Amino acid sequence: MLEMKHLTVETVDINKKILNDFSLTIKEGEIHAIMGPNGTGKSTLSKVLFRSPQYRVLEGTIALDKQDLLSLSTEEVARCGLFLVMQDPPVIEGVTTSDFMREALYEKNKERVNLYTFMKEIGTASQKLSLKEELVHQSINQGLSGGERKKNEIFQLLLLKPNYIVLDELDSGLDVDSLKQVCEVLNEYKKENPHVSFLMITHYSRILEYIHPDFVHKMVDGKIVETGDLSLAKKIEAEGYQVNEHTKELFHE
Amino acid sequence: MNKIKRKEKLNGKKKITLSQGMHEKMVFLSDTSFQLEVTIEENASLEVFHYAKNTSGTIKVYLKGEHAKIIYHYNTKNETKNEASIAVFHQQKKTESYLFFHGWNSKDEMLSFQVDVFIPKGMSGSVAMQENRIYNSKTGFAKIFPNLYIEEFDVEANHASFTGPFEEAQVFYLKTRGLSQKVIEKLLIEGLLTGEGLSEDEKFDFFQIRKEG
Ligand SMILES: Nc1ncnc2c1ncn2[C@@H]1O[C@H](COP(=O)(O)OP(=O)(O)O)[C@@H](O)[C@H]1O
Ligand SMILES: [Mg+2]
Repeated sequence: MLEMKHLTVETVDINKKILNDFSLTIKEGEIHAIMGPNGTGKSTLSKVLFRSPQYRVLEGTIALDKQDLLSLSTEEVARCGLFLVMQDPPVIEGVTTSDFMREALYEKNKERVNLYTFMKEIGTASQKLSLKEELVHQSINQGLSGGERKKNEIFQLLLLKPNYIVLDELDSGLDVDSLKQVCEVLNEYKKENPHVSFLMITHYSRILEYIHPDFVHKMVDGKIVETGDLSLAKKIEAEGYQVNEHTKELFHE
Repeated sequence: MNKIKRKEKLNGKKKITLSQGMHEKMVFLSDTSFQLEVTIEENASLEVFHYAKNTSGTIKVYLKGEHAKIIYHYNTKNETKNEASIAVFHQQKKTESYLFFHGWNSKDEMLSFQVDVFIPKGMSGSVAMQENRIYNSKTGFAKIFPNLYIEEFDVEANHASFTGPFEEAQVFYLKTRGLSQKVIEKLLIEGLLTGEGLSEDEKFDFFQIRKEG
């Protein structure tokens, strides 16, 4: 169970308050979706979960099965089985996806993966995603389209087999067919591992047609203002976020 | 692809000429100060992988004939005060230079790169590209002076430079996959000092990078 309670967070650089008394509990196996306008703090939330040095937690707690996540470093959070699919994953020249995945698997399992097994897993994962296998032997994200970058994120997820998955705007960069394919891969992963939980962060309800959430939360100005089921997503789609004019403007930009 | 023709120590002075139509790849290893002079004639090309450990040096490249081409990868690990400088003279039309100067400044001293490219008027159809990068691991200083002296209008030129500590967004990304700071620095440094001619083990030995974490 992942429990975020009364989180108030500001940026380290300009002390801008972004999350404001944010609370959310995700139980084992649940699928949650957070919908909110641009600039409301959705990506910030995902980075705070992963202990990004850009943000300072002023108040509140984050616990994973009683383990205090705020006392952990980013890599320790990851080793607890959390995985972040980033909105804009960076390019890292000179480091290949396959090389760094081998290191990541070593950190996770504390033993070197057999090269043959590893290559087979790479083959299977890239095939599932229709991601050209040669791309994972190149520098991380270099020369990749927005959609390929997202597939490269899910590729890493399939190798690392996390229990808590945060998807930050998975749909951005993916065309309709690719989004459908990637969501099918995630649904299959969820079916094989029913205990896995998802937190989908999104701006549009498009992705929710493919991965069905148990709970939908509306997030505005750094906190959840309404919780419901899929019908809330439909309502938001139809009516917008219906908040003050300022936030509306952001949503329509 | 050309095979590597030469792999040798480069300390002190050396002159190389590639005569017309020759295409070669060479690997150099330096650990004391060096002075290299390269002349490339018509339709000839040279690709260099130069690994330098804690030293200064100068390189001069003369692109003397049409379609002469140099590709230069300079990789250095630095601990004291050092400067590497290269000057490329495009002396004919349709000459090409591609320069990649990468440094890892592992202690508290100054590492600088001076990268000069000269393309006088008349040398049309030439290409000049450079990509320079220095990482500071600790509190070292790094400076890159990229200079493109271009008088000719019809050339293709660009350059990119980076100096600084490891990029925070990259480090954070790798950490979200469970990698420790140590392993991340090792990967980024390996990535910085990539090139042909040395096996991974030889490279670790030469630059004294520890293999595991
Ligand atoms: N490190 C930071 N420094 C300064 N401002 C930031 C930083 N991170 C986020 N912000 C600002 O905080 C607000 C929320 O950002 P973000 O969490 O990315 O929103 P969302 O993902 O909901 O679109 C935005 O106005 C953004 O510009
Ligand atoms: Mg965002």
